[in-house]
Amino acid sequence: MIGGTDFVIPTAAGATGLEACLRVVERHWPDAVAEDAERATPLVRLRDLTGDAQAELFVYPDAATARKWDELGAVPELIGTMIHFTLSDTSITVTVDDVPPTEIRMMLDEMSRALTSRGSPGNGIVHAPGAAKPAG
Amino acid sequence: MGAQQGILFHYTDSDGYDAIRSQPIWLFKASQPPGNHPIGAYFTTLGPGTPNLAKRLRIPKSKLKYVFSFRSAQDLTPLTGARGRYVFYSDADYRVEPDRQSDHGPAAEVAGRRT
Repeated sequence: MIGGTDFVIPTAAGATGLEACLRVVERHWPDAVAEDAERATPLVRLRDLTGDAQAELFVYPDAATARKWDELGAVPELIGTMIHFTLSDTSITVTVDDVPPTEIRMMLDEMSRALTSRGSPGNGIVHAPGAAKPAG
Repeated sequence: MGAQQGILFHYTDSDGYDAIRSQPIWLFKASQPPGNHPIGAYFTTLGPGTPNLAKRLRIPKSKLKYVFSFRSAQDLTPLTGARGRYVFYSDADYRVEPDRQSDHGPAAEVAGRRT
């Protein structure tokens, strides 16, 4: 009942950190579109996204691919075509495929480096994906 | 333990639905999910009808056809990372006694009964 791999990048950069990640995506996917994950809202071209970043965002390489995700969800034919960002006060969680293809792994590495270069406390560490029991 | 509140949901396909509902005490079996999340029985606080549900759980839409809902006992572990706000798991098989069971059935029908 759960799919994908979660990469947790510790950062307090919030929306600014997300913008750095989105710039990485746009270099790989110049026609990228984004969608607020929590609401049924229209797609927005990544370059037109406002500064008021959503707490959860899906990013696709193009609008046609986004429509396929709406129709099918996470199916094998859509591997490597959606990145899911979720913000918290202390991290950005980047959810990708169960086994991320090379281009997605490259983007993850670039995002991690982009956040490291911002110099925020705790930035740049990509946690091993998965879950762990909290202390206590 | 996690901070899951209220009602929890478990989505499954036809085979899983028939197996779980066949017993008065629902048994959700721990298994290895795809990706590299730990072995467990997984649940969410996102109810049927939630926008973009399949994409937020990153599963095929076909895996959302049936749903079980039950009252949280606050005994599950949140997924590491921000999806832990709405995804929780038990690292062993998870039993739900009848007094905690809320509803089950095709997700569209359960969603309709919740409104």
